[in-house]
Amino acid sequence: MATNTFTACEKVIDYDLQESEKKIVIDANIVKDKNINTVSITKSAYFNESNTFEVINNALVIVSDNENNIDTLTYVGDGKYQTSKIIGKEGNTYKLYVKVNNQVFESNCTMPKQVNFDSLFIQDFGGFAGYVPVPARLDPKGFSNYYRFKVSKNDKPFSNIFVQDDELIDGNKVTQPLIGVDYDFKNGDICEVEMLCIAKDVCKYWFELSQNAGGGPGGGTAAPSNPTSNISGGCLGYFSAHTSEIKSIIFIK
Amino acid sequence: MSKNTLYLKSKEIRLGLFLFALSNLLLTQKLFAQNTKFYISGTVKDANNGETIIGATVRLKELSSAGNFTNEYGFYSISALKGNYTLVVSFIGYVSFETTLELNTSLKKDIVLRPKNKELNEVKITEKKKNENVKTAQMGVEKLDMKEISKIPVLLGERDIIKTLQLMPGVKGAGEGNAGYYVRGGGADQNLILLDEAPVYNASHLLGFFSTFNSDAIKNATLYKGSQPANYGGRLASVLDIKMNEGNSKHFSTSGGIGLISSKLNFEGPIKKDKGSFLITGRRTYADLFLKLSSDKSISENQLYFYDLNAKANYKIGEKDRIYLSGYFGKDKLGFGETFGISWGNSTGTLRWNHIINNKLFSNTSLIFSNFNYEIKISAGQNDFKIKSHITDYNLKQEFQYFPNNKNKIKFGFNTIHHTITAGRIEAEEGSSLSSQPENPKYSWENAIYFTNDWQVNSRLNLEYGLRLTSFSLLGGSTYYDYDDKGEVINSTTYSSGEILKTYLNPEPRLSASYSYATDASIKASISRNVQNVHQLSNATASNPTDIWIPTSFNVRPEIGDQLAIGWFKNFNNGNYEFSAEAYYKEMQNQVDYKNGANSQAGDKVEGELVYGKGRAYGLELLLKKKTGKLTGWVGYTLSRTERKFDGINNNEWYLAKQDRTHDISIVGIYELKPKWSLSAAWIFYTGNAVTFPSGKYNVDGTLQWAYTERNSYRMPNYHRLDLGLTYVRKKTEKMESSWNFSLYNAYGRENAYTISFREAKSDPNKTEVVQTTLFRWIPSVTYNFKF
Repeated sequence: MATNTFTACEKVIDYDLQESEKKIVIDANIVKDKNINTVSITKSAYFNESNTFEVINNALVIVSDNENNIDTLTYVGDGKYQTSKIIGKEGNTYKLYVKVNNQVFESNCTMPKQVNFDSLFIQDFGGFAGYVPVPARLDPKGFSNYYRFKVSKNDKPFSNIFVQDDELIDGNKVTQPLIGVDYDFKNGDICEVEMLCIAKDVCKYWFELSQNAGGGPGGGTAAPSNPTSNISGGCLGYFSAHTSEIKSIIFIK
Repeated sequence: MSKNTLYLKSKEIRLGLFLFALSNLLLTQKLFAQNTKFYISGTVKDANNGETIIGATVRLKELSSAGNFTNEYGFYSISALKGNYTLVVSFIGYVSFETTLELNTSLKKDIVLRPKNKELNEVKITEKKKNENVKTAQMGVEKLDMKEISKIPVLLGERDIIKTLQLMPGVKGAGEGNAGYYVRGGGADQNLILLDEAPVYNASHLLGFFSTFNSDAIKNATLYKGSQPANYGGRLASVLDIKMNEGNSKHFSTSGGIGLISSKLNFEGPIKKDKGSFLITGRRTYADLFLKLSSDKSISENQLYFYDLNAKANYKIGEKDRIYLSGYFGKDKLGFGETFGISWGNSTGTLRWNHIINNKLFSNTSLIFSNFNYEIKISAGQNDFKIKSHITDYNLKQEFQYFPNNKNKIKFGFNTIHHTITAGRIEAEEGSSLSSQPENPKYSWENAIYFTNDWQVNSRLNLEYGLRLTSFSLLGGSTYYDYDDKGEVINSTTYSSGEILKTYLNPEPRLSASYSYATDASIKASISRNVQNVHQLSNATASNPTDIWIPTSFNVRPEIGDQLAIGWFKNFNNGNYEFSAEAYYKEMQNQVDYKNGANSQAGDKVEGELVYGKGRAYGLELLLKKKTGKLTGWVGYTLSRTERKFDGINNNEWYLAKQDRTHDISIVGIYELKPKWSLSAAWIFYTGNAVTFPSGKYNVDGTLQWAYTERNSYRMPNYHRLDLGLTYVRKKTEKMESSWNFSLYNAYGRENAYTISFREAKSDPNKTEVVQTTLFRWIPSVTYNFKF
């Protein structure tokens, strides 16, 4: 906040960041009603390397569910392993087993019930945040629900993380402005919002990851850390079984 | 009078005697005193404005050992056997007062000191005062007189007591845009700040660019770095005791200052001449008035200001009683149009009653109110809600100061505080998306009794010893939660009000000693324990007004700090130079912090987001001061290390605390060019704070993320800065005084890092880069001060 009110100047500096041990990164999603589900396995990189991450192409990846479906995923290149046999269903619990060389990573995740994504509109928040997309839904009373929103403009996704538990919205009609991004909407821009109903520990993962944003005095957290993963075995990443609903809107001032 | 009859008299006397009994010396002296002693007591005041003078030296010329200092209300008491004496009263910047007297009965003697005309008279310090820093048992103490610091350059020309304190060794500023400070490895919340005895919970204005204290209203300030006497308590690291001016009791006076971003006005005068006086001081910034000039609506509708008001009145009722009423009220407001606003403020009120029971016993009773609250207001379409937090204290203090003889100064008393604390609660409007969090304030009751004696054992040895006994009780009237290992609530219990749920009892022994092996040199040592029962949680690197306070509870234990310090004090060149070297080692138990990835908006379930651990800190502080001459100032250096050990962080091993800095240097100089012109400069250097930076990166869900290894394993770049100031006294007469102050902050334009952040490189999205943000380079300012 203080940085906005005083003139501040920015410059790129050289800073010697240590090269820590590279870690396996698992990005595994089972999406409701999706024909093909994907598990990506890559490796983390040193800060000074390029953003093209090393892929893992020799992993054994098995996904199963509580309806006795089990599948060994097929490597399709670019670190991605896919299945068309495991279909995402609300209420089902999914198990993930990954073996990379001699390391084993395991997780399970239950897909929550879907909450309907009722509508999407764009609202003006003036000097504070400008024009901001606002998804609306009715939170089911008496159930624990966890939400994540992903926003894109003209098919270009924003990297900001929006998650919410329902501790403070249980049973409410919720219109939640997705503030925190400089959207800079122009007439004719297409804004797309995806609403995901996610599991509790996945919500915690994204929340903790979002806390690392910013950094330094006045913003972010004093002590950023790797978020708590719901995958055991000491990797980075998460395993999420979730629902997905997308709405889009054309921006007109 | 036999001891037995006294014991039966009343509970109060019994308590008093219990405290007295702690000092064996006292009782023995009383019993074996052979000759009758007489007392001289009274109050020392400034002849021009009637302000009482704190710390003036009062002594009898004929007796080398008979000397004392006036207390915080200007009161003194010394004793001697029957005889003829010369009473000498002196204080820096004043003409010494001398009178001969025949002592054959106890006397009351009020004294007025006339300020010196500095341009004509060389400042001469009396022998007693000159080596006070060496002789007293107290160590780890910094005293600031507002007159002394008025010429030190400061940001935007706004004199600031807390910013000036940060130039002393062992006191570390929390960085630019941050009024918080760290003392000897303690956290920013481990400093007790007292304004006329009322605790001030948040000492920052404008997100930390200014402190809440308007220097025009302040008489003096004393900072104790952990080894404070037992009459102080409640925080682990330090006590900053700030005394407000009382107001001119002789005639009306108006003074003020006009600066680039703020102005202030001070009005004082007698209520009834020599009987009572008042003072009102106000200050407001006007940065927001410039915002209004903007044609851009998104700027002109924004708010950004603070104001504060100090008021004080005192009245003398008869010869032995004086009543003081003082108050502070300050508020900050920051807003973006209608959508977002944040405001915070402190208010304090103190009602005091000084009563001179007799010529050796002084009593002060204080009734104190203190409140800090903040409110964040968000109006986002259908989502109108506020986040509110407040801490309210009602506080009663009773202190007796007893001067049995010239060698002992005893203080004893009690303190009882009722706290009400609501930590960051969301309160939503009807029909909003959000529901309100339950209103669940925590009530607690803090009590302390204490005894402390400043004992001049002989001409070489001084001892200051005391004991404070603190109890902290959780009171019913709200809901408490039990948590599992993951911080999830497993059980909740609601207690009815009036119940005492749990009491923590802690003794806090304090001992300081000095041994003067020469008149101008001594060695000192101190050992002390401090206990803290209100804790502030901070998730950001900077201290924010929205950092919440929580009380000790079933889960959060009282913080305990033990400090051991030794020091060498030496004055050179007939007292013109003072040198001190102090080394300390400190251990802290039951420290509290947010866990990794904590949700700081957890409301009354915030304890589920905490981890507990311990801390240790050690360091060496060197200070060389030049007190007189055309050039005055000091050089300070601190070498230190501050560590923490918390469950589940860095594999449960010791790691550097965020405030850890290896080296800290400050050089302050004030040079009198001509009688009307003075030049000042301050240079500071410190090692960058310990911080957590990423050691790698990875990709999830198509987004770039940072991989972390250990907490606080990196450092911010080293910080250094030079500030320059020039003061021109335009006119100085009995009736009118005016001066111009020019200052240049960061004179050589050093780009110090305010934040360091990491991002995809702008030139090549396939790379990442480290970005440093700097706040201030070359901030010039000008202030006009006047007084008539």
